[in-house]
Amino acid sequence: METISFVERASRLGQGSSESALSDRQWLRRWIDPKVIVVGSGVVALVMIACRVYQQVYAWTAGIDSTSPEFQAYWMRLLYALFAIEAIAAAASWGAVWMTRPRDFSKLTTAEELRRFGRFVAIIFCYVFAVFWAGSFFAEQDASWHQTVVRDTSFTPSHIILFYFSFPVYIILGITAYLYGMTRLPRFAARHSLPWVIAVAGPFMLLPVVAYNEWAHSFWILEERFTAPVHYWFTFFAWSGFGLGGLLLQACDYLYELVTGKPQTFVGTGGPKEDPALEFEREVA
Amino acid sequence: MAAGGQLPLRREPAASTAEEVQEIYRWFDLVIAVLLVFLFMALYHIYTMLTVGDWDFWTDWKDNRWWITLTPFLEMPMPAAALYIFWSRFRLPIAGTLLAVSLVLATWLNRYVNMHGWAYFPLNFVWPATLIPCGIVLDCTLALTQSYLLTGIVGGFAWGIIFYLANWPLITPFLQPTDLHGVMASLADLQGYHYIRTGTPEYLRIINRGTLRTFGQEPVYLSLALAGFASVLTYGIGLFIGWAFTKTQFAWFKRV
Repeated sequence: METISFVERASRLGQGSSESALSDRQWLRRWIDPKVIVVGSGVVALVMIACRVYQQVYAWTAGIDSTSPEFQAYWMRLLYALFAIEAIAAAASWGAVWMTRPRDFSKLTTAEELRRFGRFVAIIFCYVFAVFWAGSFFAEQDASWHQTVVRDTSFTPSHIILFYFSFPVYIILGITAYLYGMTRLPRFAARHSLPWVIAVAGPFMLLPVVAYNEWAHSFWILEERFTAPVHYWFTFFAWSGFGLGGLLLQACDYLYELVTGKPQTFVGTGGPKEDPALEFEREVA
Repeated sequence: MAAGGQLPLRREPAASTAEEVQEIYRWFDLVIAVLLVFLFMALYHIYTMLTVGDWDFWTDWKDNRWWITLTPFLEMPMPAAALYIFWSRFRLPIAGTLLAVSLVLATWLNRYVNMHGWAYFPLNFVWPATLIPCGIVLDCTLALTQSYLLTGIVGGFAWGIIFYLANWPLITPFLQPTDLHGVMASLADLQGYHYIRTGTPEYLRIINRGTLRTFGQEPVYLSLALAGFASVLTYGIGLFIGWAFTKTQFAWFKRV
């Protein structure tokens, strides 16, 4: 009986080398793995709702005065716990994707490449879902809190969840998706896609903007206008989400080529004659 | 973009029948459609709250000058950028409506769960405005004219004008006059006086000044005209941004 290490076994699983799974063509009907979408988005939704419930219970009762003992007990400890959870989640997800990466693209079948591409799209779905919680749900909630309660610290009940939890969650998922594409798909292994880099790095830049924002709010503690210039960098980087528009166009080309086996062409559109990715993705094979 | 047509196969195709091809595309379309709703809920919402958020949060900020001018033209670039991507590559005239609906979903979720459920403001003080009729008109103009230019001029101007008309039934009850210690104010103003926020000083400085502002009158029509013209301008800016992002389709760079 062959003895293999955990990493080797995980690596084989990561390559999706289960022939029986691929020989059953039913999987093509749901080639973007619905389990990844449901489980990934479900976990994100659960933790975000849990955070919201925690805020409901402890924000008004223990989150008003940062010098009080109950603030330290209920909010600062939560902050430290969230930092620890984020570090573990980042190390686990990035480590798992990296350690289980396939080492050889030369024997990659088109069906297996499509399956990996489907998982890639599923992880991006979870990433976008996490961006929704950070960019929409908790971002406006922050406005409701700071239009009502004057801050006496940067670590307010809304900031702890918004800046120091929901932002890191989508950053972890975005980098996980990026690493997955880079290690599983020849096209993304050979080159960096500019729109995909923008779509991951842009929202990531909101975290440095938090530093600037909090620095500025040490001068102006009131949220007199939510549309104040100090917040404009958040708006600027919100546009980077449109990088997913460029990625969507690349994904359509990729999908067409995987499904039909034919190259995508752009004659008469002002683009290149043929999809340039078809050439360079062979470099890694 | 043209299909591969008679070109030779570059790899073994994953699908073996035309039905399989259709099923693969259909599943991709469905997942991407849901993904786009969440994406625009995030992008358009954060963009809106940080450009005209104060006007959208509170009824007392929903005045007859700044609100009806700033909101339409500052909210135009993002739908225009999406419009270019959807129309130029997919021939889908849906961007205006899609973004407006996504924004309404995101804002109502927030106003109910957070503004009302957490900060305890009454809902009739924090209801969000709607851009849905503006989006429908923009998309219909594009579908009928199939022209970016005409969509900008006609649809863009209509976007600026229609915003106030669309929200008129929502704001009207709060523009009724009331007497407050011998001073006439609108009900919206009265709500604001009762709910003091950290934004109140800016409200007093920006909104609660001037003599013709409270109940409408001719500043409304001037504001609408300005909103329409400015929306045409910001439509062009948004269109350019959308064009720039479509150009990234062929932008790959080597790993360092």
